[in-house]
Amino acid sequence: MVSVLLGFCLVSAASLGYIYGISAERIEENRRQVIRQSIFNVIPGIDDYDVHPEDRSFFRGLSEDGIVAGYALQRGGIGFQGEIVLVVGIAESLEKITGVDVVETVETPGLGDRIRDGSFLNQFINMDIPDDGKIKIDGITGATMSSDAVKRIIENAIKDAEKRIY
Amino acid sequence: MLKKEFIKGLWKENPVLRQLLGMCPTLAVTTSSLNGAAMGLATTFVVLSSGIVVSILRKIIPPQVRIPVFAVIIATFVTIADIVLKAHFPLISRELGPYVPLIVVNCLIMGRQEAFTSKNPIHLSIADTLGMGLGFTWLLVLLGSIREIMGMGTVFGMRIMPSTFEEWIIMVLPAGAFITLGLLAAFYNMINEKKMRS
Repeated sequence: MVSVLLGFCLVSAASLGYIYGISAERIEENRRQVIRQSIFNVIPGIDDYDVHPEDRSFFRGLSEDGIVAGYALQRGGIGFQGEIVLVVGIAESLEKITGVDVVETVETPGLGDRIRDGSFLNQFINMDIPDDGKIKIDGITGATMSSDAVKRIIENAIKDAEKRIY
Repeated sequence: MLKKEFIKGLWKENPVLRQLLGMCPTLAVTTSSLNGAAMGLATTFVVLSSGIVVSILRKIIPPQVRIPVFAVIIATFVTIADIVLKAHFPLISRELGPYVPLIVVNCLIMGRQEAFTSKNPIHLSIADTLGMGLGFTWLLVLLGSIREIMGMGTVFGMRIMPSTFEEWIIMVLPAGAFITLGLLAAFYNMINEKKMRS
């Protein structure tokens, strides 16, 4: 009886290990693709980007002739259900947000997860950053906590960008 | 025989309307038609594959530990579904998020192993679990569509209500799930009662 149960567990563990083994690379590649795509989305008109030597989640968008066109930061924070991860694009002058993209979210389907919709994210394109770094946003009806979390993550990203410029 | 076992899950013994099993995903993910369809199909995959394995191995599973064995088999297929979605359908995986691992606690799946596949040969088990899975799926799509149309004015992401339509936000909130499911179950009972009388 115990040996049968043990046998099932072993077969299960072995097959899961095998399937994870052949899929892990693809899953990681998908994740990298999402972030890469997001960096190009949030800093318009760039040709390439490089990564900060100490902060692997701080990216510098480069134009065709190698000039820094803007910054992108991958930053997370706690939303209503769990972690929200954003990529925030900030202009080289640090005076404007150039765009925001949602990389990961487990917010409530139909409510909080509307932070991924264009109708919400488009407001950040070319949004001015006030001197105190506190931005004003149009929240989503019925998803105040998720909207506030996005605002908080963006404000942290702005603070980090100011600190990290190299 | 084969047809009978398949058909029963679609209407007569529908897991959602008749057995009232698997209520958690039924209520939680049906905020849109697409989510309902993806959850339904993922559940169908899990109930079908674990049904096949349980049916093949039913004679060597000791009755004293059958529940843990079923749980291990089901959890294995749920994890496979989760990994495969993440690797090959990242968009759907992002859409369903934490609900895929939660398929493991859907009592519809454990219910089929206990009630049917552990006592029946493989061909009947395939018919039974496939019928149950698809019966679950069509209901989730219907529920998701009703909620999406009333709550957001769209179905499968396509706008079908006129722009003057005021969305009923409550329909995509949890309360909307209970209201819609309650009305559907009442409607289902009404039809069955009428059938019985005539």
